[in-house]
Amino acid sequence: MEKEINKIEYITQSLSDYLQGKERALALSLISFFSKGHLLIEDLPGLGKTTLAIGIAKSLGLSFGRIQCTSDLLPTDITGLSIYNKSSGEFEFHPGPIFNNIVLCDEINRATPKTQSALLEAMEEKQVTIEGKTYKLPKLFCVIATQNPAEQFGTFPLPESQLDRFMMKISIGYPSRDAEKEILKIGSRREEIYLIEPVMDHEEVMDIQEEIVKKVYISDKILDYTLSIIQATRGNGYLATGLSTRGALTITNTAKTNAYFRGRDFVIPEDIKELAEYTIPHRVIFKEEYENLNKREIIKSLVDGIPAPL
Amino acid sequence: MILKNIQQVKIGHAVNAISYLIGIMAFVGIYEHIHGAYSAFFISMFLASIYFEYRKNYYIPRRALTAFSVLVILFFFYKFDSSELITQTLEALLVLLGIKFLEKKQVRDYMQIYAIALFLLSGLGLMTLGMDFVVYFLILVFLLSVAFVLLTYYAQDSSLEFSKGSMAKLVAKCLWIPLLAIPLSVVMFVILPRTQYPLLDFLNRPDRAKTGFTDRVRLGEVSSIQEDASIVFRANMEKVEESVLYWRGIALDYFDGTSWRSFEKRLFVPNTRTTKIEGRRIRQMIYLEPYQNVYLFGLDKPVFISTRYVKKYDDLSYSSSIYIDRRMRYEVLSIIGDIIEDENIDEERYLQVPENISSRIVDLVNTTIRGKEGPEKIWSLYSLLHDGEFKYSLQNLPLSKNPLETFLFDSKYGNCEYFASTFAVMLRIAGIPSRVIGGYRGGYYNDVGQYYLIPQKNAHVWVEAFVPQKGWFRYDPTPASMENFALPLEGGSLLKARIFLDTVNYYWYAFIINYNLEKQISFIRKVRTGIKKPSLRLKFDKDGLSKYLIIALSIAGMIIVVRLLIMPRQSREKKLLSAFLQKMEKHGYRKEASQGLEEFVSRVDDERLREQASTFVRSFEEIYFRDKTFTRESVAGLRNILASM
Repeated sequence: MEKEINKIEYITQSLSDYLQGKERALALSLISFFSKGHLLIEDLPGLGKTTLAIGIAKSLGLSFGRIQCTSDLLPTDITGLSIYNKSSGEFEFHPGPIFNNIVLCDEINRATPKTQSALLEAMEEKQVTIEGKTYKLPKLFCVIATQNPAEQFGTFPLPESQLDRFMMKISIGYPSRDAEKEILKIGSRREEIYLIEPVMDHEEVMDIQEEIVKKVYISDKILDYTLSIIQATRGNGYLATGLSTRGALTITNTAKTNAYFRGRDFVIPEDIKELAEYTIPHRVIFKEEYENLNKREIIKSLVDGIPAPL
Repeated sequence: MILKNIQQVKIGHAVNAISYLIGIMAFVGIYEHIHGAYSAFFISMFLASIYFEYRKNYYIPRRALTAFSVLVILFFFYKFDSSELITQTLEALLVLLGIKFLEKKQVRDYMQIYAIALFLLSGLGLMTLGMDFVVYFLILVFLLSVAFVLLTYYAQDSSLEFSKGSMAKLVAKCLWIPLLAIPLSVVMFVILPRTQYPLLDFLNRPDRAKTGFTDRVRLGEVSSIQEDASIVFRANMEKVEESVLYWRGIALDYFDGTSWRSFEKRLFVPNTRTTKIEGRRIRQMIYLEPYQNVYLFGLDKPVFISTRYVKKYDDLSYSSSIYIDRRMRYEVLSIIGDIIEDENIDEERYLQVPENISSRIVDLVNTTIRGKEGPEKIWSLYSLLHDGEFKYSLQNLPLSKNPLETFLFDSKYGNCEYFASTFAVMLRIAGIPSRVIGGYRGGYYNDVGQYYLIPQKNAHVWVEAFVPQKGWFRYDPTPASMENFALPLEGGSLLKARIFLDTVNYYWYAFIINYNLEKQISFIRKVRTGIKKPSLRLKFDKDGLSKYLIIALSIAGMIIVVRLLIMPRQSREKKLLSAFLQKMEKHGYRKEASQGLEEFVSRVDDERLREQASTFVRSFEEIYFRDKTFTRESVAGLRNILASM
C-alpha cells in the first residue's frame, strides 16, 4: 500500500507542475478514476480541462481519446462504425474514440440527446453494440465530460437521470494569481505533457482499484452516517428529490478511495464530508424556487447538520 | 445509552426500558414478603435477560422458556401449601416474571409482564395496606400507564422514534391518567362497601335454621333439632388447640323451669380482681354475619372488644347497641383460661331456682353431694351428668312441662342445652352460684385464610360455677365425644373447593365489603396527614430506616449493575473520547457535533497540541472505525497520549 500511495502522490506532484492551481481538481479526478467512476467537469473553456485529462492518461500509462461534441455529432462518431473494405470485400469495424481508457468528451451538453444517450449508455454498460455486434470497452474506462455553464443557447442540458451516472461533478475554477502568472511566464506546456513518462501500467492501476474495494474497511458506524445523510436529502426542504441508492454507493466508494489516498485502510466521516459537495449536488433535484442558490453550499450545510458518528 | 447524546428515542427502547423498570418496582414491592431464593432467582433472570438482550443480542428460544415456565408452575403446585397461599402465588408470579423477561419480547409479552406486575401489586395489597403500599401503588400505576401508552405506539409501528422533548411531553401527559383515575377510585371506594349483596354467598345459604345461637334457651318444646351448616362468623387469628375454642356470647342467669334468660344485665364495673389481665392473650378479628341479634362473640374470656356502640356486661358478655343486620367486623382481645376471676357476686341472682322445682331433682342433688365439700360438690354433680348414663342427642328430646325432670329421670337423651341447664340448676340447688353461657364451640381452621370458620350448628351452651375467693370456673357437662366440633363441615370431595371458595369469600368481606366508611375516612385522613407531614410518616426507627435503605440500595445497585452490563464496551471508548474532548475544550477548542475528529484536530492552531491531538485521533480512529474492541492496553496507550497533552 505504501508503494502505491507514493506513486499516486508522485503523480499528483509531477502533474501539478503542468497544472498550476488545479491540484484539487486533479485529486478529485484521480479519486473518481480509482473509484471506477466517470467525471463531469463544469467549467468555462480555457481553464485546462484537456490538460488535466491528458495528464492523468499519460502518467497512468493509459490511452486517451477525445470527442468534441457539437449538435451534428452522431452516435457513430463516438462509437465507431463499419466501413466496407474494397480489397477484402468485407465490412471492417473502425472503433471510435470511446475505445480508449480515458475519454475526454468536451462540451457534452452541445451534443443531441441521441448522441448523449449513446455515450452515457456506453459509460454504464462498458460496451457498445454496433450493427448487432457487441464490442467490449477496455477494462479501465473513464469518461471525463465537460460542459460549459455559461453558454445555454443551442445546448441540450443532460437530464437528471443521466447526471446520476457521473460519479462526481467538479469545476476547476480560475487559477490563483500566482499560478496564472507562472503560466504566463512559461507559456502553455500542453506539448510537454504528451511526453510524461508513465508511473504505472495497466496492471498496477487495476490492482489499486481492486485493493480499494477489498482492503479499505467501512464500519457500520460510517454506513449509518451515510444513511443519515441520504435520509436528510430525502426529507430536506430545499430538495424535491433526494439521493438514489446509486448515489449512496458512490458516497461510500469515493470515501474508500479517499481514505486509501490518505494512507488509511478504514473510512472516517471526513472522507465522506470532504467529497459530499462533489458527489451529491448533481444527483438531487432542487425545488424550483431554490434553483438559483449555491447548491454546493446547501449540500454542505445539510451534511454539516448531521452529527459525526462518534 | 448516554441520553444526552441521543436526540431521538426509539419506541422499542423506551418500551423495553420501562418494562424493566416495572419489573424492578414489582420486585422491590414484594421482596420482603417472599423467600430469598426466589428473589435471587428473579434477579439473576432479570440481569441475564438484560445481558443477553443488550450485550449479546441473543434470545433464549421461546419454546424452551415456555417448557421451563410449565415446570415452574408444576413445581409450585407440587409444593403447594395452603397456609401460605399468597406468598407462594407471589413467588410463582415473580419467577414467571423473571422468565418472561428472558424472551424476545413482543407486544403480548410486554402485556404479560405488565399483567404479572399488576398481580404482584394486588398480592402485595393482600399482604400489607400500609403507606408503603400506597407509594408502590402510585409509582406502579404511573409506570404502567406510561408503558401502556408507549406500547400502543409500539404496536402500531415498532420503528417509531420520538424526540426527547416529545417523549417528555408524552410521559407528562401519562401522569394525568392516574390523577384522572382518582375521582373514579373515590367513587368505588365509597360505593363498594355499601354493596350489601354478598357476591359469593352460596356457601351461606340460609337453611332451615334450627341449631344456632339464641339469647333464650328453651327446653321441652321440640323433640328434634336439625343441624345448620350456615356460617355465623369467621375469626381471623392464629391456630390454637381445640380445647380452648369456647366462643362466649351471652350469660344466662334466670331459669323459669323451661327456659333460661338473661334477666339482670349489669354493665361491667372494673374492680381489683377483674382488671387483672394476665395469661395467654389471643387477638381475633371477627367477621360476624348478620344473625339478627345483638350479642358479640369472642374467645372465652374476652376482655376487650373494639367496635362502636359496644356494651360490656359484668358477666363478660358483650352486645352491640345496634341490631346486627349487616356484616360487621370487630377486634377481640381474649385471655385464655377456664377461670374468670371475680368477687362479691350477687349470690341471689346466681342462686335463683324456680319455685316449683321438682323435689326429685332436689333429692338427687342432695344424695349426690352428701358428705362433700366445695369443689368436690361440683365435681360429683359434673360427673353425674358427664360420665353418667345420659346420652347426647338431637333427636328424642323430652317434650314436657318439666323438661329437666323428664331428661334426668325418663328420657336421658338431650342436647347441650339439657346438660347445661340441668347442671346449672343442680349447682344452684347445692348452693353454688352458677350461670349458663351461650355461644359456640370449636370451629374449622382455614389454613389458607388463617381464620376459624364457625357454623351455626356449633352453637353450644355450657356452665360457669362460682368458687368463692377465686371466681367463675367453666364446666362443660355435655359429653364431648358425641360431637366433634372441630369438623363442622361435611367432608367429601367438594370440601376443599368449598373451603377455597370460602377463603375467597372471606377476603372479599375482609378487604372490600367490611371496609366500612369509617375506616375509609380514617384511612384517607391518615393518608392526608401522612402527606402533610411526610417526616412523621417515615418512621426513622432502626427497622424503618434499614428497610428504606435496603430499597434505595437495591434500586441503585440494580441501576449500576444494569449500566455495567450494558455499557462497558461503549463506555470505554465514550469515556476516552469525552476525556479527549474535555481536554481540548480546556485548550479552547470545542468540537461541533458534525465535525469528524481529524477535521476538528486540523483546525488547531498550536502545532504541538495539534500533533499530539492527531496522534490520539489517529490511534483512536484506528480502533474505533475498524470496529475493533478497545483493549486495556490500547486504552492505556491512548490515556498516556491524553495525559501528555
